[in-house]
Amino acid sequence: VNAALLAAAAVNGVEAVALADRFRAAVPRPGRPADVEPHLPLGAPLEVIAVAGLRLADVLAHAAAEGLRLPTATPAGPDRLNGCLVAYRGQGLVFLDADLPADRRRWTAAHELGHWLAEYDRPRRRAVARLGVGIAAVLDGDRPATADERLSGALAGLRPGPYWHLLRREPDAPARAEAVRRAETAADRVARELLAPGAAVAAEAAAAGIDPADASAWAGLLTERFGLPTGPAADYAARLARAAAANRSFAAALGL
Amino acid sequence: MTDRPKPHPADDPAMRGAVFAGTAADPAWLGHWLERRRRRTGAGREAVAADLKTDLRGLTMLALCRTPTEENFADDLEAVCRRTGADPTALARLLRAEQRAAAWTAGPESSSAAPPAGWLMAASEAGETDDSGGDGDAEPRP
Repeated sequence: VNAALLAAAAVNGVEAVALADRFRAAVPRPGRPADVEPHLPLGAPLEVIAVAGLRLADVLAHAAAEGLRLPTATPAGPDRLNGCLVAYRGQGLVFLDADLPADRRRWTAAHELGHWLAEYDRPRRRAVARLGVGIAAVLDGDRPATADERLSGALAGLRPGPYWHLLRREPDAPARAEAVRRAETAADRVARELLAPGAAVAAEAAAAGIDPADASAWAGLLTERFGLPTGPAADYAARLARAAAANRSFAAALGL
Repeated sequence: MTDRPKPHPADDPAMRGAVFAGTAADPAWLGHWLERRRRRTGAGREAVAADLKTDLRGLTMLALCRTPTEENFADDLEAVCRRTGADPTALARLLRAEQRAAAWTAGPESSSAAPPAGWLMAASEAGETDDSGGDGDAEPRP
């Protein structure tokens, strides 16, 4: 468990744009509404598995069948999931609830890809770039970091150690609630940029003559033109309207 | 008198067998992952070819291609599919599935009961009606 690794992985708006751009560069030009799900295996080492009525138990069973026994406690009560990312040894599985409405499924796929890009792939790339390919064994939990690796990592602003899980309802979740919140924030930022890129949103808003302080107008644009589900669209719209009310630039509000 | 066209080498069953036998052991060749899929699923080569929307000749040509590198995965994949007629999306899915299965079963925990380390799991719970609600900072950061 390495909270520092995860905390260091939190991305800001500019980094979210860069991560989304990296993925987009490897896949066909997206249509509208954008949908990353069909392109996940092309743009990242990810496999998509859609399960009707997805539950945590489905994820654990599937991972175990694939050779990965996750020591995750299964909490009592409802355990329905919209989606889930499981990543290990540089490879990942994205689970999606096959029963989700189309807009929610697109968002969930982008959100799980956001987790991959921001919390798994990005810190791995940074660690390998700074410390060499041998550090992958540390990230994968095969061996502890050596004293030299810890020192070199500290000098590079890294704390090499194995990944961990981000399930909110795990028994020890409160102890790392802040790290989980930051991870969710990062995944959402990347998802927004994948499905509703800031530059495109700004251009569409200008063309439509949207009042920048009108959150409902932003929400309408984001749902109708970019296909976001209502929840994430409302959240994004509120940010844009707040930024406009505070007289901030659209570019800043869009995280550019 | 006209010459009869020479048969394509990949249409010769003996040649095909030699190609797959020669590439199956080395992950650097696509033949390794195609044969891995065949063994894992118990499917015949015809079925693997059909999954990739090609035929046995295309599958044999595919086996002789280098495995796409991660850094140039999409470009490498497009190049081999253009040459062999395989479907890029289907080949990407096959490769990701086989490479993940190979990586995950290579871990020390696959043969022991010890819980593994080094994995990451993140879930969007169904009760979270809007995932964006977790994005807690009030002001978008430039």
